[in-house]
Amino acid sequence: MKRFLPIIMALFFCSASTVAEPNREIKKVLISQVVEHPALNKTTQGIIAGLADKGYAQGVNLDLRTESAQANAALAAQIANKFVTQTPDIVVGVGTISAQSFIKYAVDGKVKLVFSSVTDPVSASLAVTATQGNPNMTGVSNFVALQPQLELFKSIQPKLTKLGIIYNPGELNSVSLVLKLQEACQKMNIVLVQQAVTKTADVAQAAVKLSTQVDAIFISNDNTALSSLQSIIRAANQRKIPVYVSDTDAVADGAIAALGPNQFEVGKETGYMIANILGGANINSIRIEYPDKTELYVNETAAKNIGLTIPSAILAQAKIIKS
Amino acid sequence: MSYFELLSSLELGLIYGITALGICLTFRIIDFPDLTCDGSFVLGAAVAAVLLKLGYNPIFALCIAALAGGIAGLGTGVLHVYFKMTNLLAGILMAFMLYSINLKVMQGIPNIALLNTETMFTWGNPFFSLCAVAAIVWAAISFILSTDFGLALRSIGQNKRLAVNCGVQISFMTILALILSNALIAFSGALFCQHQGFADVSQGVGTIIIGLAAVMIGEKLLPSRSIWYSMFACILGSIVYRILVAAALHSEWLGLQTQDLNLITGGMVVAVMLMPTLGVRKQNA
Repeated sequence: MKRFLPIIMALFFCSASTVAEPNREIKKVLISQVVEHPALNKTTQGIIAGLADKGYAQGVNLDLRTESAQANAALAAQIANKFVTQTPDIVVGVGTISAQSFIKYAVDGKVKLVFSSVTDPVSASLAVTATQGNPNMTGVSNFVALQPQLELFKSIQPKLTKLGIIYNPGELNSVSLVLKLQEACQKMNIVLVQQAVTKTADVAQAAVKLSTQVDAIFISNDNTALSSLQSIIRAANQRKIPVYVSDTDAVADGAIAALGPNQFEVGKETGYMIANILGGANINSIRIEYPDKTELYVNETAAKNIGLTIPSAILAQAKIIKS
Repeated sequence: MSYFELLSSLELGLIYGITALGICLTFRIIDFPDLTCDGSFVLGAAVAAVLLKLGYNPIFALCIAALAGGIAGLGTGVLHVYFKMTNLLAGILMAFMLYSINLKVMQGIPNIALLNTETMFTWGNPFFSLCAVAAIVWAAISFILSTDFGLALRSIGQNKRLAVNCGVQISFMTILALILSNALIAFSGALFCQHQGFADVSQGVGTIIIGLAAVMIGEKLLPSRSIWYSMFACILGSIVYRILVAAALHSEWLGLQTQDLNLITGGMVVAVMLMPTLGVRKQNA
């Protein structure tokens, strides 16, 4: 065995020396995704689909690669570094930490950065204002206007006075969202009950506790809460209160309703933006986009389970899911 | 692998090398498996980020970050020595509590970005600054460990009973080592946040694995009894680990995907560990 070890090791190490040769005809788009997570995977798939819509196909005129930082900031830094050396046409950061790992290269003008699925680009230092990115940066946020969502909850539950939210205080996205939600709730005379969780293992207990205090639970684009959505729905069903979400994909998993974009659409918009820049548009003149197409999804079966009747006016506009 | 990637691996390796020194101090020198590091690394980053945002001098921020890490180490030491907790539990518990403390330090904002903020890397070439910092830390730690005080510290890990008989105050020394170790780890967290330009509350994930792997690779590459060499080995090990990760990132031609990365990196670490030892160790086998 010992005799073959050097050969095995050589195999491992020579992997380092293979660097793809640049071909000017083929556009190189490199995606760094912060973690493997259903919602973020959908965003990445959306980016690929968006690029395909604009005529960029993998292997034909596009060299697209994806790496996941596996929620590790040091790894995100190394991935960013590797990408920068490969002279990409565009780098894409999906999720806050991955996007941030490119900032210093983008500021120096070494790469053009398009971010996706970042809720608050300003506090992440990706943007100067909500619409104007920092030099060589732009992207698509997944922030959804809160007012229409709250109005939807009110029209489903006219008696809604206490809304609970479960979120991870370790996620910048969620923290800035909760701050904005507080303001929006005040205007609507809704009391917001916050419940922090730091990991998926805590969610079940937190959901049981929260469900005894509120009329409905709202889950926004929080990775921790979304990863354990089933525990939240189980707890809410026992108290017969509804769970609302922002990500329309989560409605099929048993949430009552969602008014928002789905992550796939966010990705698709990002894909269009990338295609636009690849086509020669100046990245600094492209404004940061917010999901404009919101769709209403309602889960009829889930509503029936907790004895909630959804007004027919809402059902008429909604995509209805039965599961 | 390009020159630029190699340089960045060297830089990250130097930063994590200081973490490895801290981990070596607990795991190897005093034989105390201290798991506080995942928390104290972030604590260092958090303290430094907040101070830099307030406009303090980057070097001052580094020092205060190290001080904060030292306090975290003191916490673990007190839990272990005075509250009679097992060493593993004391460290885990401290790291667990540090999560909330880190969020408090960062004023509830889990991610602080340092764009347009003066850091020590805006002053000059990051690689040379890091080399200088790592060299100073290496020399300081090696010097401390070669004094009488350092010998007493090392005796704890070698033979506790003998150390007691020689009049070494085990509990006091253990606490001191924990303070020193966590101060180093927090210091390297502060360096990391300045280098990368942001502090994130989840930044510490896996610090222990990175540090331990570095310590073990270092011992393999540079087996030595001298404290100066073995401290240098920690930093060397950390650099080699970073180069392995950079190499693993290039393994797509093997048909491997991103989720396989940890497996490949782990496999490479194993490969290094299995490498036929050159020189010294032969006679022991």
